[in-house]
Formats: sequence, C-alpha cells, structure tokens
Amino acid sequence: MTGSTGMGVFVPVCLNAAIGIYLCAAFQQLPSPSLLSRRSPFSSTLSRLRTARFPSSVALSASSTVTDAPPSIAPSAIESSPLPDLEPSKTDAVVEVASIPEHLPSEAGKDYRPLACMLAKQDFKEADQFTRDMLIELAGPGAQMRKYVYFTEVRKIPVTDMATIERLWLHYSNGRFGYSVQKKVWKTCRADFQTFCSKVGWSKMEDGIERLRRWFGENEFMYDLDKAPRGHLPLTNTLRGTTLFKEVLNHPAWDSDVLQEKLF
Amino acid sequence: MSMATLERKTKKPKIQLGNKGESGMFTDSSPESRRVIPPSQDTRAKFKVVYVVLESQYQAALTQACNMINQQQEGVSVECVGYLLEELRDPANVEKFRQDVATANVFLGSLIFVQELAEKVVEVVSPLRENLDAAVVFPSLPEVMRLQKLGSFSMASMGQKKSIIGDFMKKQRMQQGAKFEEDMLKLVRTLPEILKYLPSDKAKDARSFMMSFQYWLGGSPENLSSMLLMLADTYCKGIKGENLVNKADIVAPILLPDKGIWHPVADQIFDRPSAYFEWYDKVHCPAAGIDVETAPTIGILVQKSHINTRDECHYTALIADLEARGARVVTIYSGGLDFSGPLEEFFYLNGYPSVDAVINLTGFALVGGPASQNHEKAVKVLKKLNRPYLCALPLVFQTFEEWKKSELGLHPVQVALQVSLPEIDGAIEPVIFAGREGLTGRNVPMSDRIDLLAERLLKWATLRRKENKDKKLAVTVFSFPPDKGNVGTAAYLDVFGSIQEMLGNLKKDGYDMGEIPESPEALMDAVLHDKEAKYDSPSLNVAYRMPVDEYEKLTPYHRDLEEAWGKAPGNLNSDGQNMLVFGKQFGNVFIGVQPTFGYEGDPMRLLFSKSASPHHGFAAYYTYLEKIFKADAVLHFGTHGSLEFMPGKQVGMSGTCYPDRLINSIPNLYYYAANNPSEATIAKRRSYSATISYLTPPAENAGLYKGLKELSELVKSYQGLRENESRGPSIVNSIVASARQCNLDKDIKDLPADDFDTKELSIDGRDALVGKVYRKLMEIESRLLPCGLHRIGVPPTAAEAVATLVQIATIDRPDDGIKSLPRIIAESVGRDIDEIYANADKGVLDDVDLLYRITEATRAAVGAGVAQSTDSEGRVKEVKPVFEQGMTLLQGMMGQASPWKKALADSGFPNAKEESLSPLFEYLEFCLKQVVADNEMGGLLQGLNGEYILPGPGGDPIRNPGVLPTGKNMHSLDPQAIPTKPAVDVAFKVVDRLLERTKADTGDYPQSVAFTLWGTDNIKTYGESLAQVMALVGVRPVPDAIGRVNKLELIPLEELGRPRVDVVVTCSGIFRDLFINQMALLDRAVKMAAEADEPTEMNFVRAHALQSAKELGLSVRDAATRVFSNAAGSYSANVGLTIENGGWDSEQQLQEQFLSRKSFAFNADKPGEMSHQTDLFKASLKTVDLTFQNLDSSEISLTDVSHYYDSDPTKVVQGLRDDGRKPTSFVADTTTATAQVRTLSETVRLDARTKLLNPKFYEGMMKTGYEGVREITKRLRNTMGWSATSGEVDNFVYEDANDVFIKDEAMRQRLLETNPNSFRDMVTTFLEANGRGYWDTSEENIKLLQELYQDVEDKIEGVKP
Repeated sequence: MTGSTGMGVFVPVCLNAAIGIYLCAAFQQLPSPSLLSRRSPFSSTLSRLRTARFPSSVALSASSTVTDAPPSIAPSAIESSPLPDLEPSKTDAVVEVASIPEHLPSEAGKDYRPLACMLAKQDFKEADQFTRDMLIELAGPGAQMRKYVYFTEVRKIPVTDMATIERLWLHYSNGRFGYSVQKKVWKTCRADFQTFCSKVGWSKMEDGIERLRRWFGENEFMYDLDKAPRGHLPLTNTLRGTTLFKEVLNHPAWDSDVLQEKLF
Repeated sequence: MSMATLERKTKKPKIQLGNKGESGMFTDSSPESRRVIPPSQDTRAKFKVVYVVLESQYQAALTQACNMINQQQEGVSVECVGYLLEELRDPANVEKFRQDVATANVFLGSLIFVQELAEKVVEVVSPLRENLDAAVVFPSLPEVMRLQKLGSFSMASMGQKKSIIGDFMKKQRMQQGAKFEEDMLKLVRTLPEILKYLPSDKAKDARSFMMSFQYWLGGSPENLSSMLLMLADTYCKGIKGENLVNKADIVAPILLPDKGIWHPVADQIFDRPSAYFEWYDKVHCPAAGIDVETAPTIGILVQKSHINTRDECHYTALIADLEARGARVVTIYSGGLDFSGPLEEFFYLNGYPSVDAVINLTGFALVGGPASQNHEKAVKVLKKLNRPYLCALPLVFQTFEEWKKSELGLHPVQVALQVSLPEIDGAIEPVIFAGREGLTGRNVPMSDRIDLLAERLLKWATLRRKENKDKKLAVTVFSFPPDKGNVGTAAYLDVFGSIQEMLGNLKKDGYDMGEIPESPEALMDAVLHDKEAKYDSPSLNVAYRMPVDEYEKLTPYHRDLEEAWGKAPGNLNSDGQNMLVFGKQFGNVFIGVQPTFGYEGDPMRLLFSKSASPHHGFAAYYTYLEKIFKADAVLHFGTHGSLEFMPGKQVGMSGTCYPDRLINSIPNLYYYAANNPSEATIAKRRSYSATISYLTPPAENAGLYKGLKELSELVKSYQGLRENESRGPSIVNSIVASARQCNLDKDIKDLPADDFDTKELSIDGRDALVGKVYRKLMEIESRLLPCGLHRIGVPPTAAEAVATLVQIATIDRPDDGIKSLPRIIAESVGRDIDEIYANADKGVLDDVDLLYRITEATRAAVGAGVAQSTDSEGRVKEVKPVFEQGMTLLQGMMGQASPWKKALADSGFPNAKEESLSPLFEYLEFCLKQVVADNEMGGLLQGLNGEYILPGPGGDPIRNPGVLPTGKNMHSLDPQAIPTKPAVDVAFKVVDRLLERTKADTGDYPQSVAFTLWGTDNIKTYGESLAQVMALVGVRPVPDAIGRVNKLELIPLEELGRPRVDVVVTCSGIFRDLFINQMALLDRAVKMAAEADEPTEMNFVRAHALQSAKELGLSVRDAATRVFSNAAGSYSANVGLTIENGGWDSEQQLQEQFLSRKSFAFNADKPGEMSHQTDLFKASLKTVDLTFQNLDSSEISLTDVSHYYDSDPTKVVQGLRDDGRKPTSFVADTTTATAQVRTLSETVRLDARTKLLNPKFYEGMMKTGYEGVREITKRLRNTMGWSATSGEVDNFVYEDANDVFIKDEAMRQRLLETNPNSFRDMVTTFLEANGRGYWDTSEENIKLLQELYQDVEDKIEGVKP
C-alpha cells in the first residue's frame, strides 16, 4: 500500500486491538477470528448504523432508493445511497496504528472514529459513503427526511466538523483527497464543472464522448490512492445539479484556521 | 437478512444498452435492463406484467413497485418487463415484446400516441389479448384503447362509433383541446365513489379500470404496487379467489392534489400562492440567502407524474440553481395536461402576476400536452400574464450519450411534440435540460444546460425589472456576402431606415441613446465610416479592439476554433494584434456588424464546411456583446444572419454547438420577414431567439414598359379594327414583328415568321394569334413584384395597401363564405371565372380582354374601399370603419351604393351583387385593419420590457391573413398536420397538369421526376409540394384518429390510371430541420410503391429500385431511397455562395458540390441518421427526365434568392444520364388563383421581364438607394446562377440588362454613386457571364464593361475621386 510509505508502523488490525490503541472495531462486536475473514468489519457496522437510523418502515423506502436511485451517472450522493457491496475487504488490511488521533473534534456531537479507521485502513469506498451519510446527518432533520442535502443546508454544517472530516481525508490520502483539494482544482478549471470532472476523473471518454462515471450497475469510481486522480474523492452527488457541490466547496471550513490545526 | 440484502439478490441490474449503432435509431436502451424477476426457487404464485409506456418516469417506479411486492407478499410474486414506446421501432424488441406478452397475465399501456408504434402494439397484443387476464390501457390512440380488457369492461367501440372517450379524441381538436384529459380526470375523480355502490359485475370491472387509472396517476411505487396487487387479486388466473394476496398491502390510492405549488424543501404541497409565499418568503428565502425584496421571481411548470414517481431530480436542479443565484421560484404542477388553470391560479398574487419570467419544464404545449392542443387558450392566459415564456425539455427517447453523439440532436418525434407545438403557444428557447439515465430510466439534469437556462431566465427577468435608461441593447446587422456594399442586408428591409426609426422609439421609451444621428444616411455613415472601403478593412468603424489575451480569457471555447482557423487573432476581424469589433455605440445602444462566416471565398470549405467552426473574429464579436459591452439583450436586425446557421446539432443544442456557445446567456430578439417562417424557426431553435415578424413590401403588378407597352397598345387598337380587311391584318403584322422584337417568340412557339402576311389568315386565325400575344402580355403585366423595401414602424401607403388587398380579394375563401372579387364580377355578367381563366390561358381573345377588364375593375373597387381610410399623406394610419353595424343596411335602404359598387359600375360592371360584395369587403376591411395594426415596433419594445411577444404563424399574408398584424413571434405549423386535405387535392391537380403537359410534349410519362422541397413553401401551402411527391408515386396520406398525418395508403393502379412515376426528392436543410417526420412519410411512400407487386412498366419506382438493387447489391427496400438532404447541421449546396463569390472554375465543380452536399439520405427504417449515399443519389438522379420546383410566393421568385438555383439539379442530371440529355425543367407557380406549370426557361424569362428589366422594379429599388442597388445586382447575379446550373437563360436577358444598366450613361452614373461596391459587382457579373459563355455580345459592350471595371476599382481604391 502506498499510503504506508514512510508513515510509521503498520500492523494488522488484530494486533492493533491487542495493543489497545483505538480500536476501529470497538463499535461492534469484538473482532473475532472472523475479522480475518474476507468481510469488512465496517460494512456491517454501517449496515447496523443505517438500520438503526431508520425505523423499519422507512428502511424499506430507504433501501428502495438504494437500488433504483439514479445516480449511475454521477459521482453520487450526499444522499442515502447504496450500502457498500459486501465485497471482500483487503485481506492484508492494516491500519496505521499511530495515526488515529485521540481527539476528533465535533461541534455536532458526532463520532468520527469510524471514518478515521476506514481511512487509515485505506478503505476509501467505505469512507466516501460514510462522509456523505454524515453530511446528511450534519445538514439537519430536513436533509435526513429528504435523504439528500439541499444546498442551503450546507452552510449550517459546523466548521469544526467539516474541518475534522477534511483533515482525516487529507491526512490519510497524503493530501490527495478532500474537499479543499477539490476546491483548488475547481479554481484552476475556472469553475467549469465539465472541466473539473475530467480533471478529477469523475468523467471518462467512451466512444469519443465524454460521460460521467456510473455509480450504479458497476461502480466506476476509483477508490485507490494510486489510480485515482488528485481530488477524485470524496464524491458529491450532482444528481440534482451542481449547486450542492459548489456550495460544499464554498464552505468556510476550507479557508478556516481550524483546518490548519493539527489532529495528529 | 436486511431488506437491502434481499433486494440485491432479487434484482441484479445489468448494464446492457442494446446493440449500439446497429439499429440506427436513437433509442439504444434495452428493455432487458428493467426486467424484474422473482427470486429463484420462488414457490409463490407468480403473475407477469408487461408494460409499454411513453413516459419513462414510470420505469423506475414500476420496478420499485414490483420489488416491493416480491419482498412483502407471501403468497404472490411478480415478474415485470417494460418497453419504452420508441424501443418498439427495433424489430428485435418487437419480437421480444411478442414473446413477453404471450406469457403475460397483465398488459399495461400508457400515452401510446405515435401512430406507427401504436400499430405495432396492436399488432402484437391484439391476437394475444384472449389469453391475457387483464389489459389496462391509459390514454392512448383509440385502437390501443380498444385493447382494454378487465372482465366485462372493454372499450371495443372506442373511436368507431359514438362513445364517451371516442368523442373526446375525435375531430374537434381545436375546440376541445385538452378537454379529453380533463374529462377523464373528472371521471376518475367522481366515478369510483359512485361505482362503489353499484353491485353488478359490470360496475366492478369499470371500477377496476378507474381505480387503476387513479393508482396510475398517483404514480408512486406504493400506488403502483397496490394497483398490481389489485389486478392480480381480481383477474389473474391462479391468484384470483385464492386469497393469496395480502390485502393489507392494497391500500387506497394515495394522491397528491391534482395541482398545486411544490418545492423540494417544503414538507407540503401548497394549494394557495399566499400560503406558499408565507412559508417561502419568511422561512426558506432567509435560509437560502435570497433577498425577498429585490429577487426576481421565476415561475416553473412541472409535470405531476415526476413528483408522484419521485423522479424530480432535474426539476430540483434548476430550482436550486436559480435560488443559488438569488432568485425566487414558484413551481407549480398539474396532473392534467391543461396548465392554463393552474397558471392563472398560482402565478398571481393579489391579482398581480407574481413572476418575472416563466419556464415550462414539461416540454409540452401549455394546454393539451402530447394529445390534443388548444393553442388559443394557451396564448390567452400567457398574454394576460405577459411574461417571457420559455419551454425546455428533457430527453425522452435518447440517452445522454445518444443525444451527444447525434448530429441531428433531438429525436424527431420529440421535435414534433415538444418543440414545434410549444412554439405555437409562443414558447421560446427549446433547451434540453435533462435526460434519461440509461440504466434506471430516471431523469437527471445536465449541469451545463441548467446553468445556461438559469442564467438566461435571470436575464429575461432582469429585462422586466431594470429601468429602460439602464438597459444595454446590442443591435446586430448582417453583412453578406462579405463586402461593404452589403452591410445591413436583410430581406426586403430598409435596415438603416428602420434602425433610425427604432432609435427614435427607444429614446421616447426612456433608453439612454446619446446622440442619435439625424438621418439613416448619417447613421449608416457612422457605422460604415467610409462606404466605399472594402468591408474587412479596418476603416469600418471599429467599436472595440480586443487584445488576444482578453479574447482568450473571455472565450472559453476559443481553442476549439484553432483547428479550422489557427491561433487567434487570425486575419478576419483583426488588425493582426487585436480582435476587431465593428460598429458604433450610441449611448446604451450598440450597433454592430455581424462578422461573416469567413469561408465564402474558399472552395474547399464551401464543399466541406460541415465541420467548420466560426472564426475567432466571429466569436470575439459575441464575446464582446456578452462580456464587455454587457448587453441586456441583443437584437438581430432582419432576415437572416449567420448565427443561426453555425455548425451544431439541428435541434436541441448542446454546449458544444456553436449557435449556443455564441449567444450563450444573452436574450435574443430577431426581426424576421413574415414570409419566412421556416428560417425564423431555425433562428428560434438554434440561436434561442424570440422573433418579431415584419411585413414584406406589398407586391404590385409588374405593369408593362417600353416595347411591351407599345405592343399592348397595338393589341388594343386591333380590337377596334379587327374587322377592317386592310387595317386589321397590317396591325397584326406589326404585332407579330414587335412581339418578336420583345422576344416573345421564345414563349409563343407558333408565332409566324416576319415575312408572313397575316392577310392569309382568317379573322379567327388572326384573333387567335393576337389572343396569344395578349395573354402573354397580361401574364407579364399582372405578375406581382414587391416594390421597394419595408421600413419598420412606418404605416403603409394607400397604394401599398391596395396592392395587398387586391391580392387578398382574388382568392376564394369558401370556408368563410367569401367569393373572390373576380368571381363576383364574372357572375355579374353571367360568366364563370374559372372558364374565363381557362379560355384566357388558351388565348381566346374575347376572354383575355374580359379578364383584363375584370382585373382592372377589381383594382378600382378595392382602391375605392381603401380610399375611405387614406389620409392626406397618402398613407393608411387607421381604418375608417364602413361596416359598423347596420350602416351598410341603412345605405342599402336609402338606395346608396357602396363606394366599391360605384367603382365597379364605373368600370363597366354595374350588376355585381351587393350581398356577395358585402362579406368580401367586410373581410377586406378586417384585413386592412390588420395591415395597419402592425406591432413591429411594439413587439420589440415588449420584448425589451421582458413581456410576452404574441405568437402567430408566419407565411403569406395573402393566403393566410392570420400572419397579420406583423410584429409577432413567428412559428411554423404543427408538422404532423401536413399535408392537409385541401393541399392534397391541389397537389394531385398540379401533378396531373404536369404529367398531361409532359405526355402532350413528349408522348410519354416521365420515368422519374427530381423534386426540391422547401420549408417555407410547405408551411405556406400546408404541404402541397410534399403531397405532389406522394401523388407522383401514387400514394395517399391518411390522417389518423386525431387528425395527424402519419399513415399512407397505396392508390391502386386501376384507380391511378397511369404508371407510378419515380421521384428523387432533395430537401432543403431547413425542410429537414422542420419536417423530418414528413421526410419519413415520403420515404415510406416511395418504399411502399417500390415494394408493390406490380408490373414494372406501370411502376417506374419499382423498375428503378429493382435495377439499382441489382447494381448496388442492396435490398429493393434500401434501393428505394429517394429522400435526400444535407448532412445534419449543414444547409444548402453552397452553389449559390460559390457563384456569388465568383470563385469557381468549371460547372463540374458546382455539380460536385451539389452531389456531395446534397446526398445525405433519409431512411424511415433508421430515422436517427442522415447517411451519406452519393452512389444511390447518383443512381436515382440518372433516370430523371424532368426536374420540378414550386414557386410559392410572388415576393420570392427564381431570381430573387440564390437558393432556387442553388438546389437545381438540371445540369447535374444531364451529366449523369447515359444519353447526356438535359432533363426538361418545370416550375409550378401557385402564386396566382390559377396554378400554372411553366418550363423553367419560361419562368426565367417572365422573371427577368417583370423584375430585372422592368423600370417599375429597378426604379423602385433605386429609390431606396444603397440597398436598392445591391438588390438589382443580386437579381443579375442570380440570373447568372441559372445559366450555370441549368443553362435556361436566354441571351436577350443579359443583352437587355446591359442596355438598361450599363449602356445608359445616366443610369450607370447613378448606380456607381449610390453603391459603388455593388455596381462593381454588377460589372463583374456581366463580364463573368460573357467569360463563361452565357452571354454572347459585341466587342464594344465588353470593352465598355472592362473600362468601367477599371474606373470603379480606382474609385473604390481611392485612386480616382
């Protein structure tokens, strides 16, 4: 894993637990031997979180949004979107032990340790989903009911929380992923969304036509630090236009001093 | 297992987008991608549902509904597969559909309104209907509705005999409008309540239908799930009566209100605007940072079914974009297809409109949607609201990628339904803002289009809110061909005079104008700076020098232009360092000169300009307007410009199409000639303009002059002396001699030789001879020609008004119970006018004379009517009403004759009946009011105020006075409405006449006829020429159940009574843009004829198709390809351009240009593409022995414009034919009451005599000065075009023209002084005509021309004063 280069000690997750530093798995059952199975612990964490979030009747409609939601065209969703596939996690999953900070500030009272663990584990797909889900929560009850964030709600999200999320992304991606990274790219594109998409790899050429990458069917995004262009993640839904995306890039967090404060 | 996991197992979406490219159709999506199958090893009782819908938004909702059933139900499961209507064009899909229906329990259909596809649905379902447990069809064509099957409930009688629904749909489309849909809704709302209490089975089944319809209208996955379960429980074998369905899941339909105000963030639907604004202004706007006090407000119309099915992402995108820009929105929806009520209810607050601009996102006509429109009702409410009205649309039949790849752009069916029809409501800016995502079928917005729309909407709204003194207006004048003599070209428009008039009006309206020049000449001088300088020299007034870096910074697409033009600045509109913007600013008004295409003189580009882009200078001009001058609106001044013809898709621009990039966010107003609705429509669709129509100058009678006048005097004196044995013959001898001098021997084939003494003829023989000459003279005399140029904002002169009304009076209008004046006069002397016309045609002297007197009397009578309203300046400013109630009656009682009756009596027809005259003159008075009521200036001011510009048809005011008053936002017609029945009748007559004439001349029917189809022609005549093509091949169009022309039937040979004649149809690029569905109809007609099993000697279409099928190795069907046009996004053969520029070596070059540019074939089997088929084009032209065109209006005749010869294939065919014979060329002239078929050379002579050589014409032109000279030169150049493409111009035409314009010293001085550039062109054209061998003349003439050329060149270059 490239993320590891020159970044301290890497140990398997189980060792991690043994050493007793922050346990990523602490939010669920203790990692049993199954931890070494081909299943990502965080998938199930999230499933549980999500199920808990919606009463069962709602869960139904939420899950139907899942399969039939349209976003295959676009980087999807600050929106309740598909549960991650129960795909095999990396067998050699390791976490950068020293890297999970003790203090992850949140004004909204949210817990960002799962995000930190996912990122530390380089599981960008999970982290990406977590981030979008979190933004919906941070955006307030309206967004939660609607299951997507309307652009006007973005400004309600506390700088502290945005900055924490961002700093985690920046840190674990060596500064390649994150909203502030996207903001820099956006500026060089003269605020043209199409140019931006091709720069960050949200679109691709097919039969001589540039099209946005698909989310549904086969997810075409790149959750790999090596392959993905700078600014590729996290994804923001453009299913309802680019206003939300622009508003996210406009969030005061990216220019605030908090972002500069060390988490680690 | 969580629900989510279960789902993943039950539904595994596959990406399967059909066989790309092979189908040649737009819709590449595959029904397989939306098949829902119950989990494997499912033991529940299964039922299967197959649906066909037009509305793709149901796709996702139905899929979800089925998934819900499969997850929730314990006793039943469902398999479901759906077809989008357009997918049934693919035979493979039809086959799959058949297999699916064969094993289905339930069939669902909705909005199946496309005739040929409806037929396919019926063909498949009908034989299988017996086995279906239920078939539920929501509003569709009657034959599909008849598939309905719910127990005892059916609609078998639908559309056949009297039935509720059948009545809604039939005939009275205009009156009933959207009533059908409304009534259905009413029925749905009330019936279930009533039916609930009816015990009988019949009522139960009817109730099931109504419930289903309610569920369907409810549209959400929950509703649809209930509907499917109800149907299964009630009707499906193995399920009904078995108590398998968990009834708890069948819940009553959950319906949103039928109409309301919706907002994505609000947790409710608002039923009153006050309630909405209470929430919006107090809660939402502050949260969104919208300043309620200053924010413009945009009204948005959306479809309820998208809200129901929660497929509203594309709506939310625009709303969010507008709000992010600080605007307020009011979004209203309706469940019905009539938005007029909701609009009136929700877009007003306290009695005042609450919106500044309105956008309709449904893509449908405001009233009636796709079914039956009521445009009058729509216009009424829009006029009352009086706001700019945009109608944008989502892609329905194409995925993004398909549309992006397509050169045609939007699918033709959508163009017909969602572009053409909204235009009739006055909608502008048909921007595609969203599309269907291939896999899920849901609508997703296109971010760049949403941005564009939001920006454009805000600019329109700003026009309403800004004060006039602060508004900036950019007026763009055209210059073509690119020569200074042509700056300010516009068809029939006195451009600088009109601008001058406009500036005065704007000033009055409060615009900051700075110093207005005191006259049109001064204005022109200020813009042109130096009239005599070459156009592209910097001495045109430079308004702005744009440094290259600034240009590149402000023009995001500048790099794309480099492929064709290299790096900026290039050498067009540039001084080598800066981009130059030509024009002149007066206060806040900028008058700019539109740059030219830039490749006019480049033969390679003319041939292959398909992929060319505008040059940097062109782009810089529009960048300047938008980003530096910061225009609030641009006004393109007059027909036509280059912007709307820039490369890009045909309809449905993308962000890479040049018209879209150039105009970008600026609201665009465009003065367009009322007689040119087709090009105006292109301007509307491609450059997002709101057009304002202007009147073309009225046509007057050509009159007679010089030799022709003397000849007519001789003819008149003969009439008194014909019986005088000695003087009679001698006058006839003189008549013969001067007729020959006037070159009439070309037209009168049996004119005796000069040395023949007519004494040898009987008196009848002499009468016949004089009759023929007389007839010819009358033909010339009464030919109409537009005099002078129109000036916007100036009322017509009495003479102009009379000229227009005389023509209106000459047409019978049986629908309105109005007889033509000539008919009334003829009746007053006991004659039938048709007989007089026919006899006059034959040259029967008495009737020629009678016709002459009738014509004179007509003019006198109309003149007497207009005189009532003529003021002291000889103009008609307002119409004095003569027909006020009771007035004529009173006059009649008092024995007072009307002025026209008096005039008729004075002309020798005292017995015309007042009861026939009254309705006619009442009508004429109405027409006169319309002529005077022009709103040309008013329309502009309304547009600039951000108001609604009243829409109206374009076309010929004579045929369709609905064109008047001008100043309207012009539209074309419902393309599916043509050809109309009367047009078909006329067409069959014209074709008979043509075939008779050919048979008489050559003894045979022609094998094949080459045809040219024009957009405007077909709009004006409601599809006459289209129907002519059908007549030739012997196919008749048949209207469908709701009056649209979508079907064809083969006329049996025995009924036709002649062989089927083959055709080669070349469509103008504009025809292709407007009538692609009609191209499909023609192609099907030809193929139908080719595939008819008939003897080849009676079916030339088949004979030729069999032949070329063999030669080219094709199927007969493919070999029967006869409908051609340009490549998508390209227009004209460019032969005209080449000739105008003189840049060509040989006729061969012109012919190759024609063949290469016009050989894109249309194929009804693959309607999504124009394929380059030069071989087939050549093969079919090879057999042509007759070429044919239609002339539809007197103001645009053969030499008035270049496009008639541009597309004339005469010499091309000659070059291709094995025998090298030149085909006979005919022109049908439908401009007069009696449709004439003349040879091309006859028509060219007639045209030359009535225009180029006619003092009335050229003196009239000279009066308007600068532009007038250019007009004269243009006629000469176009005449030479005919020499080049057809060789049908007589030598005397050039010779006489040379006498008039060159030999006459006084004349040539006037020309030279008025417009030296145009005069130089004239001299060049004469020399060219001689050099190319079209004009044989004396050495002396040539020498003079050469000297003149040198003189004028020196003068222009400034060498000589």
